[in-house]
Amino acid sequence: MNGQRGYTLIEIFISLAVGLALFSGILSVFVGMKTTIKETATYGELQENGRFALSVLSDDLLRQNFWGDYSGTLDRSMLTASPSTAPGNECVGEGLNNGTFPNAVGHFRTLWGKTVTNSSLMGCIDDAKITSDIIQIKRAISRPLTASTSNNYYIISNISEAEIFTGTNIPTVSNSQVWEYQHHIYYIREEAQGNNTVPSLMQGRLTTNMAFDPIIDGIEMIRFMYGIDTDAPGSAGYGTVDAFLSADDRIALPADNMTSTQWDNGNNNRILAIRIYVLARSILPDNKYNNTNTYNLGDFPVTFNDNYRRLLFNSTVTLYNAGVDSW
Amino acid sequence: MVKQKIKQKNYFHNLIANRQSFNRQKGVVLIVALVFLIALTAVAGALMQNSTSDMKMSGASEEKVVATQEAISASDEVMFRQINADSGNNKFASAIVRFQDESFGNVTDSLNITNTDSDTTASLDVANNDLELEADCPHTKAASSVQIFTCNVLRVQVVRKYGRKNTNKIEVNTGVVQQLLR
Repeated sequence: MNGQRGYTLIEIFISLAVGLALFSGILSVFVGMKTTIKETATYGELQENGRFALSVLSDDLLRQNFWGDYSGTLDRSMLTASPSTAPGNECVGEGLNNGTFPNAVGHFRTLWGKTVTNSSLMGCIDDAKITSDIIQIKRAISRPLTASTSNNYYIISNISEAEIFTGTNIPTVSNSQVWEYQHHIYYIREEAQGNNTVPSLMQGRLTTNMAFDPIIDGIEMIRFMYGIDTDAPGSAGYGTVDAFLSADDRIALPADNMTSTQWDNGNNNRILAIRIYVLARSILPDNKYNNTNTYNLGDFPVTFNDNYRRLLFNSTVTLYNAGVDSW
Repeated sequence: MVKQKIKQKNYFHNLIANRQSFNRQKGVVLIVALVFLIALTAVAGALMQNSTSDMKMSGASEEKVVATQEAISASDEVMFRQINADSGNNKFASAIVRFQDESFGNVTDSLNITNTDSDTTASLDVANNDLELEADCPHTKAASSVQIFTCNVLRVQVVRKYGRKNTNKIEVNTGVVQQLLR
């Protein structure tokens, strides 16, 4: 017995206690860091999706009503010819003249949007998310082409006339260039994946019919505010935005909503700018996080109570092709 | 000789003493600390990588927005310089044959406000004129007699390079129609 060596009970307990304290401290730091990593990764994902959506939308809006060399807004009377049949699955918005190609009657709306109140709209969409916005843009794709195919529509234009066509035979228009004719539509669709619902930004594109594809996952809402100039040419304040209006029929504030006249650029109304709001949502919920934030998408505040992280993006785009100043 | 021997002896003695003291050491503090350090460093590294890519993203999109705005402003600046040029130097009103000379259409040097980093080029060219004749003017809302005016249909093209190594570019084309009295 006397020859035995070793630790006393007290020594062991003290070392155990010290070890435990150290270990728990380090472990908590470790766990904390792991949570931070997950959070940072989620915010990175939100930022990536949101920024991408914002850049897609603003690049497209920047070029709305662009018709190559043709100046001014497109009108059936300026077209020497236009396809006699509408594209398959054509999307027609509200208004007299809001199809893919201009009609003879009414102002051709190259830009039109609406807050969705019924998930089927425009005659080609049946899965739009209610309370989010839908927007359609008509334009030419900004690079002139040398050849055309029968898989797309094209516009050939000079400064005062244009023609819309499809097929490999390019019509003759003097001093002209050929561009791809495009009709873009953006809206939000919600898709169930297991127990989780993933919202995604949908894009409608024109080939010879309208085709829809999801382009960005995790975009929960888009909303647009339209910057209107109401002043007559030559009067004070012409060329500057007087008010930003939404296209939301639900809010009982008619003064705050775009009217049919404003969409048709009547009574000296012009849409000079657009404010874009994009609400990005994480794809998967985080059960440790409770989101009760209110996000202000322009004039429309949205409050949540769930476990998703969100990030709101907003940007204002000047519409450089909103109209010609003189002539 | 004798002195050296003693020195060697001392040395051996020291060596043995050292080895003994190494053998006498106990504990795993160093190893445990190293293991924790490696784990934490890995976690911190991953975190830093995440934040770095986030920063790169926002930096890149900022650069794009700035480049777009600068290119659009440069386009405005070109027009301002031409319209306010000394009498006879407004290139918008020049005869269109002169635009065959590429250096005549180069107006980069008129950008002395927006082109601070010399990453923007601006040029002026006849837009699409097959016969190189002065074209008819576009439709006008105001009434006028037929064909009193013809027009120079020109294009102001501004190219702004941006991004790392200037690999991306933004091109702004502005159509300008200048009335000319026939």
